[in-house]
Amino acid sequence: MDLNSFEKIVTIFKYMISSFMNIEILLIILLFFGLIFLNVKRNNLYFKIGAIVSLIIFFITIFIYYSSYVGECVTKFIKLLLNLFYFPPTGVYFVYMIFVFIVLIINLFYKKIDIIFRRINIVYSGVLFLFYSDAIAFILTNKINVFDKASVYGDNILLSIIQISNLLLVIWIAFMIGYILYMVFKKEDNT
Amino acid sequence: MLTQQNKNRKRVQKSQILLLGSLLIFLGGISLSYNFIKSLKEDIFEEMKQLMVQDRPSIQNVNSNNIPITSEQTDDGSSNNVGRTENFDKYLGILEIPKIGLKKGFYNVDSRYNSIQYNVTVIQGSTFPDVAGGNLMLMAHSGTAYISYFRYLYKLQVGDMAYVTYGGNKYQYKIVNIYNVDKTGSVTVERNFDITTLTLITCTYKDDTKQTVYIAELVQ
Repeated sequence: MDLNSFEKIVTIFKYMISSFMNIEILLIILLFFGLIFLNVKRNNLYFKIGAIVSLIIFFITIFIYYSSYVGECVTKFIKLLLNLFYFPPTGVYFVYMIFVFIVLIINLFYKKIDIIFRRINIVYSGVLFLFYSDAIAFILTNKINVFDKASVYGDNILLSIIQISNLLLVIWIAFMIGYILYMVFKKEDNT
Repeated sequence: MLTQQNKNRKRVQKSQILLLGSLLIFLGGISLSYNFIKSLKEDIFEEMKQLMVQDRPSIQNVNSNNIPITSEQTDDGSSNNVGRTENFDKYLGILEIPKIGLKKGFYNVDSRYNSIQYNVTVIQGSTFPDVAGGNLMLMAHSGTAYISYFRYLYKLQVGDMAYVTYGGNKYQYKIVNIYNVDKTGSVTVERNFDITTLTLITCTYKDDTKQTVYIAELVQ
């Protein structure tokens, strides 16, 4: 447990050359990414596609060999995401607030964003800040123990505020991603 | 120039098609996995509901009543060790109840992991099995959540065995009494003060208003 960074690197390196399989993995990875590195200048399209397809085949092979374990991991991951949406820990909920605050700052100072999109962002930020302020006021007024999930989500008012604000946030993020993707595609088309 | 304008119109449409295609693929994925996600959502709601309903066996006050001997007296009160087993470094001790397939460790009373939200919990005021006449009191959730370690405790009957591994020794207990109390935050443990006891407390099976107390006495 008490290894410094250098010892950890030495441990990893020793493991990488500890067996034939590990050496094989190391050589294949070096070869594969070495070829990608050298191809950057040539910009061969078939090579790029071939590299992506090889990686996809590699992951599919792993999924097939360890399908039950992968399935379990995926299920737990989705459950984790749903928990972050429906019953986020209070610390995570504060991270959401900080994220909204950062987006608001970007909207105020970054001038290349479309005006309509900026206005939508400001309205959304306003609504979310209203919810967050109400949540903080409720927690302080009722002296809710923010470290106890049962206390936080035991009350319908706080539960509703948190879940509806998360729903609005997810919709907003999806909308932003869609907008950014559209701008990227449009820019590539115009060049 | 006209050709260039036509080309630009086609290019703009291509980006729109790409975006629309991505959206359709995303919506398709959501609709295909809707039932699966819905079942997971029901699971997490159920877990949270269990956590909220049963997170309040927080026992602030434990009283003990000395009661007449309820089981056959062990002969001379000499060592009741069943045998030595290995120590689990992570835990202070291990609770085992073979009848219900329970084997779970517990932490020291001052540990941050000694909480009903994480583990089988040692109640404040407990003494460990090596203290003659003492009482080790453990509590945990019952229900369906993953932290409901006492979910099958309701299957236990008087006469069933439980084991506690502590300090390198394994102590054998026999259940001598099972009773329900109202869930008020206070529990009265009715036991024989002369016998080393193990007390297990959890919410009563299918009754959110009560807790069940299992009294087990150390046997030879």
